[in-house]
Amino acid sequence: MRNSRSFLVISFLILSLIQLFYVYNKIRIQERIINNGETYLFVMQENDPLDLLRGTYLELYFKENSFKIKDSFGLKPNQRIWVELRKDADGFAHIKQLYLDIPKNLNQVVEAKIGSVSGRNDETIVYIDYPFKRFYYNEGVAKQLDSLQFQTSSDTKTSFARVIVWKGNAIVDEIYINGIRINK
Amino acid sequence: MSLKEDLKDLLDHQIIDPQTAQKIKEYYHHKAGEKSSRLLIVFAVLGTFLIGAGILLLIAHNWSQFPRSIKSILAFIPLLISQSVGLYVLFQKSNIKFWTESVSIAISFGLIIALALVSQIYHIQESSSQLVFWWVILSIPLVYLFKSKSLGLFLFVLSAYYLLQNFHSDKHYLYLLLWLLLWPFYYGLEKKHLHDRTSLFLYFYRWTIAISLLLFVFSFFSNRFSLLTLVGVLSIYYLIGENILKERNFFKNPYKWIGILGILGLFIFSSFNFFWEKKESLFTLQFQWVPELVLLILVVLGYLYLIIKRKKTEQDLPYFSFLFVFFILIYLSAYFFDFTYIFGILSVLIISLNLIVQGERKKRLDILNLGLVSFFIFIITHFFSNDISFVYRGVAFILTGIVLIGINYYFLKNIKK
Repeated sequence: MRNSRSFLVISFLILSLIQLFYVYNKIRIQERIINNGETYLFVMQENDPLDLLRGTYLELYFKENSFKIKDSFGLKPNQRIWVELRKDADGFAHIKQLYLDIPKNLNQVVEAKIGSVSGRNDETIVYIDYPFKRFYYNEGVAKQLDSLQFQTSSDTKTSFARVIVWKGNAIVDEIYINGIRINK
Repeated sequence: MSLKEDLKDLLDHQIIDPQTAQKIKEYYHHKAGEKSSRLLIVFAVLGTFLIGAGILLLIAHNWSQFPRSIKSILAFIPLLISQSVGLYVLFQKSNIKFWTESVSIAISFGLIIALALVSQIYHIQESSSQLVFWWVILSIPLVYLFKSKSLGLFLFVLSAYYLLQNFHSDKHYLYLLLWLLLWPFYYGLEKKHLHDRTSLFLYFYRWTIAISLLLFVFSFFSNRFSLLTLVGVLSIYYLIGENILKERNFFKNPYKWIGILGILGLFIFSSFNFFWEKKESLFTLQFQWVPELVLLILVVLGYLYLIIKRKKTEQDLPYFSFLFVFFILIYLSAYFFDFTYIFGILSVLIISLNLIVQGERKKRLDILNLGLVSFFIFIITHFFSNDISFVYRGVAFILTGIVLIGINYYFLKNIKK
């Protein structure tokens, strides 16, 4: 009786540690990206901010979401793809090239999915589904968004997301709409 | 008569001795105490949940003010608290059901709260099905450690949710993994049920498992699901119910009744012309040999077992077992005739009439009602498919309603006599 109880207790302790470790590990992975990664600014498309609301998160749409290639290479939606980025002088991100297989050098690379492919003449446009589309927020943000509107002129780069990229992984850190930081 | 009077009466008539009377008294006294403490624990659990939820809301209100590190630490708190209570329960209260049941659920919820909060803090783009998968995997050991029936059932339901989320993807195989990990616990309940037939919980388990297995089969065959495979699956369900579970009651035997209701539904569909119109798609079968062959072998073995078993006990084969074969015959006739739906109409009429007569003879209200209901569904659906004025439809519905109530009333009265 006593033996079986200590067996139970020990297994329970092990299980508890595994559960805690699993949660901790998730945090650790994200912290590693934040601490080691490089920051890119992704310009967001003009949109009514309230259209972004998706219940518990905002769905972000980025301007730099497509890439022209010459051949379609039989690309299909939902296929995994690796996007190499480049930064301009202001820190805004642009797509440098796409990889169909995991590249050897993962610096400046984000793993993403193909959203859709459209072909016209010799040109194929690949639309990219970034893994940092969601921005979770609390109730205060909805009110904040209500008072904002995206500026219509497309030259201004005041609505953007700060994204941290490290070895193929990426997380969205902050978003700015009309230059105003949106609190989580 | 109260218990005291009962005991006195039994003592007076020397059916029990004073010692036994004392024991019985103590037993009931103890039982009553257990009941009231149960109620207390339920309220305690509810209270803890409310307090926990309140604290979470307070935190969430000022959530954005906290730095990320504090948020991450806060995410662990519900899990840590529930785990500590779990440890206490294992040491002190491991025999008290309500403690083990509630604390195992609390830990499981502590886990999902932690996971969800971390996903939010770092904006992790995870699909909900991925989250659910790990939630279930990491909660399954709790079911065994605490012998928690309610958590077990909850996890079966959650894994069915996971299956639905991945209905068309390859990941539905991972559902089988969750299912296999939970199965031994369910099997233990079934075994225990053989000794004391009191577990109401078990029937919920049976229904959950029967329905989610059916979903899995749909998901497995997905785009090459043909009418024949459907009949095969339904007959296997029926045979499982008849051969293994053996129970008559609707609530206790989901397999049998899913099979029966399914095949009756197919018969009603078959009485419409549109059902047979796309002949090509009905008869061009996309077979992948192994699964369909396994299905066929299982059906044949199930029938053989049923026939041998019934011969030994010199019973007739159950009526419903013929329906599946009968439906296949109608299906095959569609290959030769263009008016198969007429066979469908005839068979629905014959079957429902037969069920009504059988129910009347065997004094079984469920069979009688099954016949009546299938007859009326047949009538009602056919009325809707044609251009019949609302007046006639209304009259038809009223009449069918009256007949349904009337026959049941008459039947119940006769049984009472």
